[in-house]
Amino acid sequence: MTTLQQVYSPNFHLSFEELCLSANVSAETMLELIEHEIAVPVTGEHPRQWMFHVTSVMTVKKAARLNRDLNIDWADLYLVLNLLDEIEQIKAENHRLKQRLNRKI
Amino acid sequence: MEFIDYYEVLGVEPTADSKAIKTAYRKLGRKYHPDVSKLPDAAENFKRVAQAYEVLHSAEKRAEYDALCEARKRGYNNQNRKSSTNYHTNNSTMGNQDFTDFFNSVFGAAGSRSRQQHRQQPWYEDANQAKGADVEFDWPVMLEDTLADTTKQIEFVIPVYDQQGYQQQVKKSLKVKIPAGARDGERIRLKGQGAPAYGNVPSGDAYLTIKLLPHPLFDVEANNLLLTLPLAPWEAALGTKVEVPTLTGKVQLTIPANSQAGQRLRVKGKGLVGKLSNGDLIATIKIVMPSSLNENSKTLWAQLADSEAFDPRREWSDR
Repeated sequence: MTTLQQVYSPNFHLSFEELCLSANVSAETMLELIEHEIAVPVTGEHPRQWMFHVTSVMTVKKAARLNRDLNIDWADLYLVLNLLDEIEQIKAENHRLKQRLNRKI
Repeated sequence: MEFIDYYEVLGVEPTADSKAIKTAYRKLGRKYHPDVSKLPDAAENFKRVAQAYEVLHSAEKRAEYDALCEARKRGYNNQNRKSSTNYHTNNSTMGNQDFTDFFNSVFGAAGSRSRQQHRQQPWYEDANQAKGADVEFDWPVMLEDTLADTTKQIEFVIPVYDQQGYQQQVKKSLKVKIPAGARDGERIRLKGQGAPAYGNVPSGDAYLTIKLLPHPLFDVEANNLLLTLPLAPWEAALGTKVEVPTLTGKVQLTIPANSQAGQRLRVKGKGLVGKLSNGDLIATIKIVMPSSLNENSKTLWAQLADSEAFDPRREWSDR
């Protein structure tokens, strides 16, 4: 077992290059994803200054898998990802409300 | 080794044309894709479906596979195959490794996308030459740990490959800071703490998703903590002072006379820590009857019933 005693501070943002590397997506594809608002920079006006939230890595990876495996094009992926997100949120909300209801009955 | 009927996996006839194969793959792909499906065996099922499609949608691979099926039907042991293995069919009990082994025995490891990916990353990730594999996992965090920056020890497993190329699961232990105000579902990146890479290539990253553990007393709504506050009917009627729990100790709460069930009482600033401001503790009144009444209590309730003209169902009579 490797034990490191250093305390790691979480990292919440990545640069454009880091996002491409982490999500294993070419810069060209990433620009397309940004155009379709699948990845949205949180700060910066130019690609070199862009910073992305860490959630963008998961979103872009998921988009790339759905594009590769189910042949969903980038333009449709925005809708697909939003609907999948919404389903997740509704399920989580439903779970929370059920939990609260159980306490009140 | 198990023989795999790829046609059966996709649910098509061996005579199916490429359009039918594509349609079957799309249908099953949408059903089992791990990014879409929450079925327990979705990832495994999708891998089988994807591998069957990889063979059947390529004219060359399909012809090779069909020839193998034909030879098997005739009872041949094909001496010229890359593998001299005897195959027998039992798709339902087969693990993914069997699927991969079967695929590799027919088409060779070089033909398998999943084989190449297997060395570095989970099968559903793209093979990434530029850095080591990322690891993703949930991090269970107690509500109390989000009130201030807190350091916790976490343990997780990363895939490491030995010199022979076999994957080992190596446990890694790190101290990580939970930032104050962390929320359920929030993601954290630990740069360079994923799987190591080979050569002059950086390690992957570790991605943690914070999962707030359910609290026995409190629910969470944005920055607010919700608490159900049980009161006896006379406490609600006459008002009282009660001690209510918070995440940091107890506070005294004044219950006004004539309180109603469902009424929400707010304790400012006693919720979760927020980025801009702290949330509140919101106590919702629940009126609880004693589980049994003695004779004296019954008499007192009867006196109250006689003296009051209160009709809790008045709204019904208006209809």
